[in-house]
Amino acid sequence: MIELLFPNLRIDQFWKATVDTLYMTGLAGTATFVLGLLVGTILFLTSPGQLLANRVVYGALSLATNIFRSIPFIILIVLLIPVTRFLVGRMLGVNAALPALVVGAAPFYARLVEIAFREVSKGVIEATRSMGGGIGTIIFKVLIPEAGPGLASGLTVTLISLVGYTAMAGVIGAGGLGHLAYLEGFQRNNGDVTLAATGMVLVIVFAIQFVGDLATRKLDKR
Amino acid sequence: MTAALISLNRATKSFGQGDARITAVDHVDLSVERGQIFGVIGHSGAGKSTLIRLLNGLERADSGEISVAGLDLSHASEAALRKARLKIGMIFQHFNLLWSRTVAQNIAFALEIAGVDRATTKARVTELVGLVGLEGREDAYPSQLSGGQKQRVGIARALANHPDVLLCDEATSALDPETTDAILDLLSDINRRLGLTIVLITHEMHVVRRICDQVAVMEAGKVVETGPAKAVFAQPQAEVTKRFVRQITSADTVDGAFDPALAGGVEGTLIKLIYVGPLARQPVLADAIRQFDLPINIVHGRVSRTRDAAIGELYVEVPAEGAALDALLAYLAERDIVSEIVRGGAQS
Ligand SMILES: Nc1ncnc2c1ncn2[C@@H]1O[C@H](COP(=O)(O)OP(=O)(O)OP(=O)(O)O)[C@@H](O)[C@H]1O
Ligand SMILES: [Mg+2]
Repeated sequence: MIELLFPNLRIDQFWKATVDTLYMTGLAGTATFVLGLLVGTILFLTSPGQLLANRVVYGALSLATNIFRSIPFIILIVLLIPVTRFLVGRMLGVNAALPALVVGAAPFYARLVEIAFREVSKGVIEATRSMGGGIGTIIFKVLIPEAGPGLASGLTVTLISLVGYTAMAGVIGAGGLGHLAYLEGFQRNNGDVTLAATGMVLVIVFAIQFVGDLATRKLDKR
Repeated sequence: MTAALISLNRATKSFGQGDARITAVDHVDLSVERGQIFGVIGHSGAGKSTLIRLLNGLERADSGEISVAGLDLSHASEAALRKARLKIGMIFQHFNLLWSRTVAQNIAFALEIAGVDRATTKARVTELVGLVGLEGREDAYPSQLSGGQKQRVGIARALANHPDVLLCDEATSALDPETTDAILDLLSDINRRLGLTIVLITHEMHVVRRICDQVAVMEAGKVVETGPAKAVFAQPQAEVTKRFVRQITSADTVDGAFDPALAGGVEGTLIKLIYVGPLARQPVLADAIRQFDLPINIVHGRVSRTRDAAIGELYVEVPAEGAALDALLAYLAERDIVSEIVRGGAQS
């Protein structure tokens, strides 16, 4: 059946590409989550009127995230080649894509984190302070749990962009479904391979969206 | 040296710079004895919230001394302040609960901050839930509670660490009158049972009158009058205080509306007339008396003021029924007076 519909598709190659995409998305997604949460928290806390309001830190961090968010991903990869060489050692394979993926996605997620934290009522932070809570309590017991749904839906959006980024990274040699579609599909004129790769990307994106929506709803007690 | 639990000595706090500088709290002297319910009343922007926030160091004074339960807040370090806040509970107008936590978890939050162990926390939460009357609602989320219930959670949370003082920032302003009274009764009950000192700020005279022992009246950052609540209301000195007092006395007559069922000795038909604006400009009743040759007797009257008009209500007694009554009502209706027969007087 599969051979009939996709005569040029090699199943082992297809699975490998799928696993590579999932691997890149998963690893880069985890790093993006941690880094984005960190940067987003600093952005929020140093913004005007907040607990650690600091014009200089907020301004600098804000500018940096805006710059990285604005650079088209394909250019970002090229710009980051020296950094990647230094970190990963070579410019091929799935790991080579990771630095660019994280640098591309983390600033985006950081902004979403900042926005989600802004939705947390100032009164709740005030109440926490009135109970003797310090900055750690405010971050881990108030901001993060209270912003839970926003953090989850933001992560969903970010992960979906990441799937797209991995496909782009694939074109310049990082492997994965993008690589398969471009090299095996487009360049060898095997339309069926491109189609199969596209189908799998859709399945992954839909699965992320589904799980993300579920988590967002589960976290939302408002 | 008195045993004042809270004392402020020329406490001052201002915001902003240059021309836009606002002195929210201006050289305020106050002292609150242990076990009192101390009310601070003032209009919006008088500086009440700023004043109460000075009492737990959420706001630091620019100058003056503030001491609460033996700690000099004006010179305390941030760490010392955090520790002191465990013993200074606070509740808020908008409750400020964590919506991601259940009732029990919200109350436990205060204990988590204090570093209380799990077993003790569990027992204490159960005790507090009982104290504020929320048995059975432990696992509800704030979004599933009414305003009054949310404030009860706020109170339980504020009391969790056995505080010396409870600060209430407009704690009942978001509640309807009945719920307001229920919460006020709970606060005064807690005050009596636990000997807890309460400082509450409000813009509602009703709140002060219902539960406060002592009151301070604030206007433009200054305390303009202070003393035992009864004395201050019996003989208000400052203009603002007089206005606040008038607020309740006029509210009283409105609340204690005329109850026609209690009006004894009314003969004939009792009619309620409702009119908008001044009736005096048109001598409608006098004309009606002349035209219908009926003695119209005014039993009760009041005027309530809405934002843009005065609404008058007049209860009158007329010895008429049947056609004569109909004619009178039609006459009044022509002059934009709504009438309603309260008792007697069959219409034809
Ligand atoms: N953080 C702040 N920054 C600047 N101005 C402030 C700040 N907090 C309060 N003010 C100003 O101080 C004055 C007193 O405010 P405050 O909130 O204490 O009044 P309030 O009596 O509690 O009023 P309300 O009944 O409306 O709550 C107001 O003019 C207000 O604008
Ligand atoms: Mg206020």
